Amino acid sequence: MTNTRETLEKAIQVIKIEIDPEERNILHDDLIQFLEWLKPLKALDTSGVTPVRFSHVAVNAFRDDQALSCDLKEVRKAAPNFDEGFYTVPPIIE
Amino acid sequence: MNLNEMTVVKTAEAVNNQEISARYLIERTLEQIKNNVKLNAFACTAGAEAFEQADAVDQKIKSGYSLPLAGIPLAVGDNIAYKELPTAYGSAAFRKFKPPFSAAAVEKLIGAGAVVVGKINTGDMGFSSHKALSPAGPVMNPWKENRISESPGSAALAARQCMLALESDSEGSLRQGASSCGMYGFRPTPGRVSRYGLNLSSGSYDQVGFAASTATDMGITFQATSGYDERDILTSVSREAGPKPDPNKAPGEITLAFSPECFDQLDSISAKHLKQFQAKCLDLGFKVVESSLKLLPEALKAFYIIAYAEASSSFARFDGIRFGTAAEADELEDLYYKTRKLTFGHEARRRSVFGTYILSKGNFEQYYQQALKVWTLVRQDFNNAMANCDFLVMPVVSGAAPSGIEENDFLQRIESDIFTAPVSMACLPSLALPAWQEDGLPAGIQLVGHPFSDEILLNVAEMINTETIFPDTDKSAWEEG
Repeated sequence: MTNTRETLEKAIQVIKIEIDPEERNILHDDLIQFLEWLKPLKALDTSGVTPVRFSHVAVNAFRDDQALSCDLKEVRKAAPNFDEGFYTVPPIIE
Repeated sequence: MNLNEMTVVKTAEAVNNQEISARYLIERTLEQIKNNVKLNAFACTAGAEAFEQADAVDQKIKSGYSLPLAGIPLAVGDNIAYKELPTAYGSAAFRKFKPPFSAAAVEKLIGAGAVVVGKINTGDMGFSSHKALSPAGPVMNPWKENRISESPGSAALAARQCMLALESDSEGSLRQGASSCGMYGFRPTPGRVSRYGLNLSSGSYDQVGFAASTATDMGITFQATSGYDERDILTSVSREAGPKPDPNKAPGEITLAFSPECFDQLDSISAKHLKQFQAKCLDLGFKVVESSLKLLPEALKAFYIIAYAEASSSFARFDGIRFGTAAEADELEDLYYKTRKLTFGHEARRRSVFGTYILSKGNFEQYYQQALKVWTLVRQDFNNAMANCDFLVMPVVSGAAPSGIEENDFLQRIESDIFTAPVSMACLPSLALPAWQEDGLPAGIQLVGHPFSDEILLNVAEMINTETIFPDTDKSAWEEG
């Protein structure tokens, strides 16, 4: 459990989300509890068991690849920033 | 005509026979919503668009059409897309977001004559409001003050603020809320109803489901929405015919199984009621047997590992670029950080962080990979339990409706899913139906069927035919009918 805090901080970095220090402490305490709760599962003997690979019974279902029409006005309305047919983002190259 | 006593079937018949108009029904329903805003079931209600839909239904009927859900007031979960109203996912950042399309199930219900009266509040990012408080606050339970409903649609239904609700079910919130509000809550076999337009947090578990006040109403709704949809690959299974319901099957030809392990997980009052329900099934003529479910606690743990892992992956798309709201930011990285802070509440942040932790190097094998193996064992466990029966009869929750979200009790809230989350994991259809009342609060049981036995399951629920009782809330808008 020694690296739990460190891994938690890395996870927050990977997700790219702002979380204030107080909430980070709450998440850390909850995570410790959660991992403790999971202990019996870790101890369960699963040797020789094949993990589930597909959650549902559906297998590949193929159909023709068709372009669907899309109303740009609707897309523009749903997007935070949209200009001349493109989503816009803050500059990434100086 | 007293609309308080009307079911979906009777109401649609009255609209089809032009005894009442769809417009009149919608007027009464919107008034009923206004009469009890304290319930907090609705994130927003429809206005002119509902009356346009209702008028279109009335016009069709005058032209000679008959619609199975003619004029039925429908509430839609706020994590299910409907292009005429905002779809906020329980997030302040999406309060004004209108998706450019409607979910497949919404399209089908409208096509069958239903009229959308509003979007119902979900918890943060569509999670159960029992586990994830949204900025709108919890949805209250119309049966008792200071109790909440895990399913906003069931609360609205019990308070007569709609006649049908469409919402999602993952760990079991729909079935739990239906149980605590005395309604029917149905999670169909995955693939029977399209998930197109449902905001997925867990692709493996999230399903579109329904709340209704009778099994017959549920059957008509399921019939109107199930089937192949090329926009959802899972529905390819619907191309294959499932077992056909046999309307002539008597209870004596149906075997129901009760699991001793479920009794062990219940508080004494709920266990007593479940025993009484078992006796009722025998009285009705069903064959009743015992079937062992050995892995419920392990299934619950594996369920949450996978659900958190999948949430952390699927929430990555909320980046403030393609849809929704973007935070003010000078740099791209900054845009991600600030937008996600704006978008996610505490529970969504928890699931994202825990999921990423679980999937990180060193943890992947011991948690995620182990959970996938346990998932295989859970499926075997359910297969074994159902080998000698047609349906499992399981509790929905232990105890009555929850009292709300207390600080630091997230594990306790997770543990309340012990009967519902494993069923979701096993990909089985499940219906919560009213079963008993204790201290003025209703509670239900769930009927769990073999995959694709959805229609038969609904038939059996009709045979059990539990009377639906509504709470004594203000029904004035309906009584004028």
